[in-house]
Amino acid sequence: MTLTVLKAGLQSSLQAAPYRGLRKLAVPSGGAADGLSLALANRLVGRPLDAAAIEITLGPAEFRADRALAVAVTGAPCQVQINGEEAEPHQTLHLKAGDVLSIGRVWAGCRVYLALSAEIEVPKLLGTRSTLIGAGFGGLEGRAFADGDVLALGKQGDDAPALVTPPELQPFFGHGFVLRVVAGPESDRLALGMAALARKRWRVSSRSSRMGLKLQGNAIDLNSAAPIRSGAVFPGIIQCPPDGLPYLIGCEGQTTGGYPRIGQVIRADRHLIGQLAPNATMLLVPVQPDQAEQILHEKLKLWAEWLPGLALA
Amino acid sequence: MSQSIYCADDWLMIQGLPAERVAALAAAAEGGGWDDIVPGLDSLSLSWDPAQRSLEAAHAAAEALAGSDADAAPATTIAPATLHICYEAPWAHDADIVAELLGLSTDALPGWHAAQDWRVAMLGFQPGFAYLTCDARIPDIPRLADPRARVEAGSVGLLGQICGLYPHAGPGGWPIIGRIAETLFDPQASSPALLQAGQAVRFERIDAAELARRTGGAA
Repeated sequence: MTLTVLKAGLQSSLQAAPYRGLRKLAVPSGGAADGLSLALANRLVGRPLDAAAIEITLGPAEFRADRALAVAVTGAPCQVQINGEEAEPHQTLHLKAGDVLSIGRVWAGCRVYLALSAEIEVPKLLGTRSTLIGAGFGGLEGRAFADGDVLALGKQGDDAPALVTPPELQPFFGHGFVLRVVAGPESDRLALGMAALARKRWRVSSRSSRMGLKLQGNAIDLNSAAPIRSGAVFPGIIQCPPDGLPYLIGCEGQTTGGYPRIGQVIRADRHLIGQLAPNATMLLVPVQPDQAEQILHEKLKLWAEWLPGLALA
Repeated sequence: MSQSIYCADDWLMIQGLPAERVAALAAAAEGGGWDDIVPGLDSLSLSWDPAQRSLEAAHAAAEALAGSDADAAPATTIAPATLHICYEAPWAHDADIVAELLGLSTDALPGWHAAQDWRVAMLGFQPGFAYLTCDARIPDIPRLADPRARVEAGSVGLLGQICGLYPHAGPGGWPIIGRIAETLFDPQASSPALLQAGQAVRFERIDAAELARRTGGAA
């Protein structure tokens, strides 16, 4: 009972819930870069919202079901085919033994999620099956997939009912993003205040991964570029290295750092970081922490009916 | 230093703390309902899930923690660690330059390093990587101009005023003075990191043959 990786593409890996409570040991959070799209995919195959699924970066990628299986594709928009026939994202797809599922290159966004109705059998490590690609553990042997990998599949629920994500809930991804940010611990070093982040269109550079994203634009002026005493950073933190071009910490970013932390993408918007591909543009909109808290509650309320128990980390 | 609290929407940081206060507050924060408790060199960061706890409640809890006289030295509750270190070639790549910066002969460097009372200030950079500090006056040791393409797991470096322990092999920019026999991080273990913040660390010298024996000869 297996799924064979015919084409792994740029980077495909097993991702589920993040590692929790281990940042004091310098273990990054990791997990799905876009946890909302992971939940939407799992919902369509009757699995827990944070069950292990396949995260595909930019595409293309191809898989073969070695037995009958229900699957679902969500996240960045792309062509989906079964044995060369068009298939739809955001709905339950039933594969027969031997069927080949192809994921095309994404048209926008960055990451596609492929959920399976059967459990992918890799050992749970420190509470999750997520792959920490940088640290080299978790998931499938601590690494991204290679062509020819065979994933062992475990127990399968009864026939997954055919579901479709309600159209009004299907996220839309374009090439431009709006991310809301709160001030960081060293935002007082910004010569122009938070406006320095807000009044610009930032572009994601090719130096981007699950660990972090280098942004391009006009360099930021700091009153002091002196390094800080090493302290915590979290996903969504925007650091200002000496070159003045922001570095946005991704889900798998390191847990501490020494560069000034000039802002942070709010928790409610962090899942969108996983959809930022090289050349995507973004606007950063400053909000206060209490507004950010309110926005999160509203977003969770929006999803409560379709994705009960959704956690946005 | 005076402490102050920075607050985002799901984490906050008590900053401006002396090192021993970081460890004491980190110990006092355990069991306080925080998702993550992250010691820094002069700060303690605490995160929470806004679906479980309000910003206001988190801030109030942090203020109470910062204002408490949680001085009970947590180091006394964590057993000190003894690490077996080899200061010999080929593991002490940069002993010459580090000794010179410290005003020591290369031969005297191991004795100096092993004699210090080291303490884990924090973990960071990569899983299990420990930052150790001591009371000795250490000049600001610079990063290697040309980072090494590969340092071995267990390599011991000195950078700034910090002694850093590499848990994994990989590229590294810290000047290296030796290598320890112990495994610092094992994700398969129920307690994956050998060291934790606040813990006292003692170095015990071993020779290259003993290091090879203890590491199974792994290079």
